[in-house]
Amino acid sequence: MEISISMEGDFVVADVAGDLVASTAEDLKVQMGKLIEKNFLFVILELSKVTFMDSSGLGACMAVHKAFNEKKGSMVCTKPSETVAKVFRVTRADQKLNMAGTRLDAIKFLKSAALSGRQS
Amino acid sequence: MRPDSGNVNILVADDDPLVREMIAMILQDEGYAVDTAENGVDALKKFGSGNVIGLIVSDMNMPEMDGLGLIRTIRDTGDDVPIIILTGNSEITTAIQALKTGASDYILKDENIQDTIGIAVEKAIEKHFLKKQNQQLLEELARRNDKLEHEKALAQKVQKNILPRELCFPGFEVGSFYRPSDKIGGDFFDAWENSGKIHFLIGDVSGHSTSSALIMAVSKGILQSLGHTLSEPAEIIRTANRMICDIVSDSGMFLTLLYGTFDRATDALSIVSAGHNPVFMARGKDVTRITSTGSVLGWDPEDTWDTTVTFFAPGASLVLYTDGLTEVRNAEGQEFGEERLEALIGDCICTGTAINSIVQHAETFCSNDFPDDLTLFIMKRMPA
Repeated sequence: MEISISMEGDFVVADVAGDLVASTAEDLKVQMGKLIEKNFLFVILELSKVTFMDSSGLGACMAVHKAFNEKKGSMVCTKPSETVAKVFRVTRADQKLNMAGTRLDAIKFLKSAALSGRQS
Repeated sequence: MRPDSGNVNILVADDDPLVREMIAMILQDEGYAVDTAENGVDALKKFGSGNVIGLIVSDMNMPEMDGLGLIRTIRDTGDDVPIIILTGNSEITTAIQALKTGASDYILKDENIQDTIGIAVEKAIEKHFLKKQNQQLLEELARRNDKLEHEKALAQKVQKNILPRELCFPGFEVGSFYRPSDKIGGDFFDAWENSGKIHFLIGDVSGHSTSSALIMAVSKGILQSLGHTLSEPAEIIRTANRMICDIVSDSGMFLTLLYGTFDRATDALSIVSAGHNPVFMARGKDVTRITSTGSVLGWDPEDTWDTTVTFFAPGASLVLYTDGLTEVRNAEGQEFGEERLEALIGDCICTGTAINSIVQHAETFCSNDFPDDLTLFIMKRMPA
């Protein structure tokens, strides 16, 4: 699994590619933890290139979602690949996580979250 | 801790008294304790005398026993004390032979020996020290691994006892298959009968490590306890979720769970699926799916679940499983998938055959490479 970090205006985009599974889930937590440490609290987690996600990967997504919320930040998941979308749907994670169909929608959501300072 | 030269005894063996004493003097000046021997036999005697010798510097050509004989005899005993060979320019081939026999290094008897001997000895001692240290660390690692494996084996036994051994209910045929990906896992299942209702459950804790096994054990205890006091699956799940949320806290860990009851008085099957993969109700070739009715357990203490109520017809089978079965992949990266499982279910007549057939197909499909825990649990209602 690889996570490419880039900036989109004021927000960080973490683009995840590959398998998000037990052996790589910790890496997602570590990378997102580093962003939080550096005070990057509004993040787009792009999941279109995730080829497979197991329960550990889903657990990691939920853990980082909670970690951003705790710091009054927000993480939005965008463009989940088919395999990710299915896991999100079955477990209802799509109702717990912030989801956006496009990066533009994600930016709108984060702008609103940052402005209102609300914990999403 | 590095070796201190003052703590190392060196034995110098050379039949030439002048060379012998000169080398002894150089090494004493470096801070080493030095003993000397006139030949190989003398050296062997002193080596075995009880004084711990940390290094031997030996000439090659000596009467009675030469350097090669000395190396060979010491190595034959299994001792790995560093041995440095002293050799002339014309004896390089012999020196190489000495290295092959077990010498640690060789140095030339030339005008630079005063400088080279000290360096060679220091290097040989350090290398020997590091080798010993490495060996000790490897032994420690092996000991710890053994202990860990022993603990895992013990945990496996305990976990095996947590899971039901045999499930028998009048009018039902029940079969199960459980295989953790490692010795212990996060999958679990169970069933019991209470006040005219058969309660059954299958769960899968995220991950498949020790923490998963721990949460699995606690969750199963909670559910079993609630199942004996409450009767509605949705209520049981709601109460269990609040308790499990406290346990998993913000770790992101969770469990998918399917909890159901079969009411003997009404033939009604009530199922709550907390983010669990679809399960199947099969009657001959007619296979229907029962899908998730809410979120997984452990994320939000305020979550609620809907209940799927259906009729458990005589002759029908309820096939429960965890995603360790459907998510296995073949060499081409394709998933075993729900469709493949569904097709197999339609062909099965009794639970034992169904389980064997499904497991065998999955094993062949993924070449026995199961990265996740696998549980298969089938309840067949006997025909009236």
